[in-house]
Amino acid sequence: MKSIKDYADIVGEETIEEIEKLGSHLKGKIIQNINSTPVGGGVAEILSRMVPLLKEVGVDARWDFIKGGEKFFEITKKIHNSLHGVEENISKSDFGHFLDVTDENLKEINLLGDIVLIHDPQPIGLIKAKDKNGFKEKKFIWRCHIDLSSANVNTLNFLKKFIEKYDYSVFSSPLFAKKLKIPQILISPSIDPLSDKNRDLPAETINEVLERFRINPERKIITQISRFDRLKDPLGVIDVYRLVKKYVDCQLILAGGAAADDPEATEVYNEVIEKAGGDKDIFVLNLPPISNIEINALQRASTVILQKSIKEGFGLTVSEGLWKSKPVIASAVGGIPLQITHKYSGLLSRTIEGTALYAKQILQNPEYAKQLGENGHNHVKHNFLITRHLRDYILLFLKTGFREDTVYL
Amino acid sequence: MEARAKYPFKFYTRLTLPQLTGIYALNLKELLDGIKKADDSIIYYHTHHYLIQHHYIVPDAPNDFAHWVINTLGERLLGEEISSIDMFAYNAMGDYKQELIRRLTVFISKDSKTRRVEINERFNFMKAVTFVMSAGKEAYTLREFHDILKNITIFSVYYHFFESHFRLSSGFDDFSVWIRDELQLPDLAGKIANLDPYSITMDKLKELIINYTEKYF
Repeated sequence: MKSIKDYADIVGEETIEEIEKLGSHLKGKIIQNINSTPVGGGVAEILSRMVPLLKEVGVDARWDFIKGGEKFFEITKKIHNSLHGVEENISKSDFGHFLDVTDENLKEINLLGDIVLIHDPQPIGLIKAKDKNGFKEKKFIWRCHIDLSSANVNTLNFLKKFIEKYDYSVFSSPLFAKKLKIPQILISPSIDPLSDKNRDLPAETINEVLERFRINPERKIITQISRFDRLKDPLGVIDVYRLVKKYVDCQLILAGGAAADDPEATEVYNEVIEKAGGDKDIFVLNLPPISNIEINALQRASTVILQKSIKEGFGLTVSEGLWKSKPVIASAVGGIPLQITHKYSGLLSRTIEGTALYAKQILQNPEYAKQLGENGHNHVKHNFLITRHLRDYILLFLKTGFREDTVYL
Repeated sequence: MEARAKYPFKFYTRLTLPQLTGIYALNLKELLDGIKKADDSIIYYHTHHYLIQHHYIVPDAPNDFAHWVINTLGERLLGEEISSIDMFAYNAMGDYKQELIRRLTVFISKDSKTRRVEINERFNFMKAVTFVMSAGKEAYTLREFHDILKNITIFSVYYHFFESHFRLSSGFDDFSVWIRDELQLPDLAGKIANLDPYSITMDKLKELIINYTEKYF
């Protein structure tokens, strides 16, 4: 596990010192995070990094999770999908079961935090505790990691009864939020520059990975790292490659996972293989979930990185590519425009033809590619690293103690 | 013998958390209405957060209004006009806001048929919750000032350079006031006060101040 001090080489001693000083203002307060699972999924991954770092800077951060049986989590999965705009049949009895499990958790969980940070919809009903004696002084925050922009109205209305009882809500992007009666704070997600997926790699490791997959390091490489999902448009990426290849010699890497329990991913993977049509310069890599070093190496070996998504959440793979100082061409969807300023820190595209045009420009102008990559790296360094995320969380906790918009610590 | 101040320069830092206001605009008319209703903290956020977020470029449209007008509405002429309003010519946010309203009103009165964008391209009016904290460092001499400056974040430079301009309503930054009054170095104070912080990055601004001070050791 990395220590906060390990990040000083990247963001500077002064930034770490500032975070530690901020953390000292939370002395005596307990910050209690609650989510639905200790392992698996993006929220657990963030908390497993964030909670130890908060502790290191002197914040008494805790992490608990609610309980729920198979039926409860089937229902919360439907709620999750429906908030993403997917058609789901959630019955009255489903909502009833959700409320019953919430009440059981309320009896069992010890809400000991001075500030209680509830993550996503599964534990959202714990806010009912706020009406009890002894809980009124506590501050409750709802952290929404989901894009609510196309949320199903019925599901959202059901959750709104809880959301609007919280003291604050937190969203990842203004585009993901909905109009609410409570304050809405914005905190972008982040990448960890010291994780296996993002840390510097020796040239030998990169070469070893390329050799393993029989990719030629001497020739130009276009890469897209993403799940085999239609919304990531892997077939469109092959079209881009073919348009580019008419003029510039290159190889294409499409790397990601196709989980065995996701029939659509397997279907998409097969379609990609079929479209690749045995082209020896297209490398379709179905990697197991633990392939962080491989993904890191493939990104570092690339000449240009694509993220040609049709729909996207925050799209942190863009920051991962930029962090490696690579020129990134990505669709202007979801949180991607927050990460790329067009023609400064990368390129934003909207079509297959546009993406191909930008890819040709980058492949034939190494200086331009270098400048975009360097600018992108700096943008991520200042805005999308875990240290900024940590600082924002501390500021959020501090804010709960003040009504004013300007807080003098 | 190096001049020693009677009162030290106390370094502070300023950090922010963005907050949504729930107000948004889909066209120029709605942008104008939103600006009219916006309080100073909203105008301040949209004209300054860009400087903190973009360290690597000289910001070409150093405020969100201009950026949205140019890149989303495609109104380059108006965008350039808004970008070029000299923020440091105004000692109060309200005065800058009135100038912004005036320019938008003139433009709309000439050409009201501007583009209406999709909801996902909207302009979201936001404000910032601001936290001001002592950096726990103070300088009595120019050398101490220089050494601390080299080891503080750009958020501290921002507080003493930008925030002070509007906080003091005097048109001066904290650095040049202290150097002039306490160290009696009016030339150096003048050079720092004359820097145009809206046309350079925060990193460059910090570097220039450090370089200027080195010449007065």
